[in-house]
Amino acid sequence: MNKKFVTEYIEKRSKALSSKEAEELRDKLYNLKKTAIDNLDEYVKKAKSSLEKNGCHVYLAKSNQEAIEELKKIIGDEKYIVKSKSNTINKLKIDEKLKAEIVETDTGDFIAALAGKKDPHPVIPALSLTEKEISKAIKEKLSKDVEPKAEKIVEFVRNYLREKMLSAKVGLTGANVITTQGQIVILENEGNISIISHVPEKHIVVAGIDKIVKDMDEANKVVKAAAVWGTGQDWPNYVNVISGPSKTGDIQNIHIEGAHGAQEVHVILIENDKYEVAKGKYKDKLFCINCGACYDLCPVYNAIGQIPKPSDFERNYKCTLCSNCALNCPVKIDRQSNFRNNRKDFNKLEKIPQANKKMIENVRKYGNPFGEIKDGDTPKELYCC
Amino acid sequence: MFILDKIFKGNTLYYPGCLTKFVGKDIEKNYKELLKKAGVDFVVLPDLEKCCGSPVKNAGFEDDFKKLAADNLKIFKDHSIKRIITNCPACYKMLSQDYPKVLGQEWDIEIRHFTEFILEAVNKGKMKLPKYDNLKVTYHDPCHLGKQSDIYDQPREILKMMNINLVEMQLNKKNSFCCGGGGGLQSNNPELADKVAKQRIEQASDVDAQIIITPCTLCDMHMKRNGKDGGVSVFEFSELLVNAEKVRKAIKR
Repeated sequence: MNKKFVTEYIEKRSKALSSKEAEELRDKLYNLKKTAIDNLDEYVKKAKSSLEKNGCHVYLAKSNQEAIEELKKIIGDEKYIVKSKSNTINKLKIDEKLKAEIVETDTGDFIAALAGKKDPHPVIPALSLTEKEISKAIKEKLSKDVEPKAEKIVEFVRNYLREKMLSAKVGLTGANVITTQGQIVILENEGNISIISHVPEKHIVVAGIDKIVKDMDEANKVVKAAAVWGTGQDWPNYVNVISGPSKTGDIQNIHIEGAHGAQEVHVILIENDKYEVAKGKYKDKLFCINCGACYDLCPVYNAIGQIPKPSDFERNYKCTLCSNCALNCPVKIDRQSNFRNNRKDFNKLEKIPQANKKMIENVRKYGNPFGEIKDGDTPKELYCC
Repeated sequence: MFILDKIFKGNTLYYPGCLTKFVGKDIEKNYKELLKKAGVDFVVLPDLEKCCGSPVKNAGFEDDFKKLAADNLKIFKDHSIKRIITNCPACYKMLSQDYPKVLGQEWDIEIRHFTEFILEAVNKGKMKLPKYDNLKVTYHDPCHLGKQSDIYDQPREILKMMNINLVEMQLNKKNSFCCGGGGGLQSNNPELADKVAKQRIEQASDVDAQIIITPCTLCDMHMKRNGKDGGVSVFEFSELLVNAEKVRKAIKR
């Protein structure tokens, strides 16, 4: 467990927002995300039409596979593309499926890829790597000697990636928020996203349809929460708001697309099972803004580096139901109830862990979880708790 | 007068919870003694009352949970129970928050956690507390009692009244970490449950606490088992109140 990280995170977060403000923001976020998910179809249609009006190319991909096919078409024969951190893109496994080389430009992602050890934390992929381990990985993979100090490592990464980012023809990013009015919002601290979304000729955005909210007013609330709950910051260093390809009308008021920024903006919106989930009892999963707060305070994640997952049979029963994730979620996803409801679903399919089977048999027969207990006896096997 | 009082006010039930009743028998004894010391006229229904349903609900057997709640309601009504005092945080959470949800207005029984009860009794002069001058203690918030029921201050106040030097772990109150014993983890994933417990105990060592105190039989048993080799001793809340000599001896070791 990285105790320093957890305690510093809590401290920073409480300074960034008072608990009263935090509660108010949570309520607002819950409501705006709920409205968005309840009207998902309408939000997707509006966002697509607005983005197209702004000059973006928009693709609705039914699945990850369809998204990859679109990516292939847009990337064409490019030798390499520069990419920012994105949990949606991670799920596409593009490094296996695209011919082009993928250059990770997020410092954490870059380091994690070099070291071959990626932490599942959605915001801090190199969380579990020490300075020494990182320095060693750079030596092994890139044959460069870098002093094992954070400052020196960052300097090396910056210099190493700068040329690649400036000469790339395609920049690939995720999005934190997309609005029905046609804005793409991407937040960051490092500045790599500002570069790769602006400098290469083509900027490709890949995002789930659940990222759509109504307008910039709502988007700002998500940005605030992602900063506060994600890293304990008051506001991210950079908030990129992109409404379409760069353009100018400076010459005779003639509209020309492609000035200094990206000449083409491609937006791939992935559906997967999200329309179905949006109608079901686990729809609050789609409220997630990927801040990672549930990881930071999860005792199980801190103990073993993996967070329990409600819908996964094995990983569900690794949860102690302590409720830290639910109480620390900025969009109030009730993971606590989701864990129980998924267990209910598993029970119906007769997928029941052995101990729980014994426990429920005992409760039904004897009114307690331990079984038949004769006067003064103490049960040895505790099927409960 | 006394009889009439009972008829109108109903009975007070001490509900220890299954784990305390069947396994943590010394703890049950302690709490009964505390009730007697405070002059409370209480009843127990060890053979009639059923499991509160916490492990049942946690394991996803919602229908069984509802049935247990209804069964317990009937048993309690049959015995004119108007107030329940429990030491078990999981039972407390179920009886005070989840029973009203499934039983509605029919559930009109007052639920008190033992730490609330003790604080009241001490403040009214009905109970005396032993003193532990200079003992450095950290308090572990049971998940069901702390962040799930908002009882943070009462147990801490009691500790301070015993002249205890209360030190907080860095992760405390609403940010406190689970001991790893709950949610079925001990039965379904014992190795992981132990890892989580050791992680919590280490947090107590970090602040140089001599003992960890917690008002939860489950947390207590789980951390005791996992803290054997460490420098921190674990005690259940009632042990501090009833077994002062035992606690002092354990610390001198």
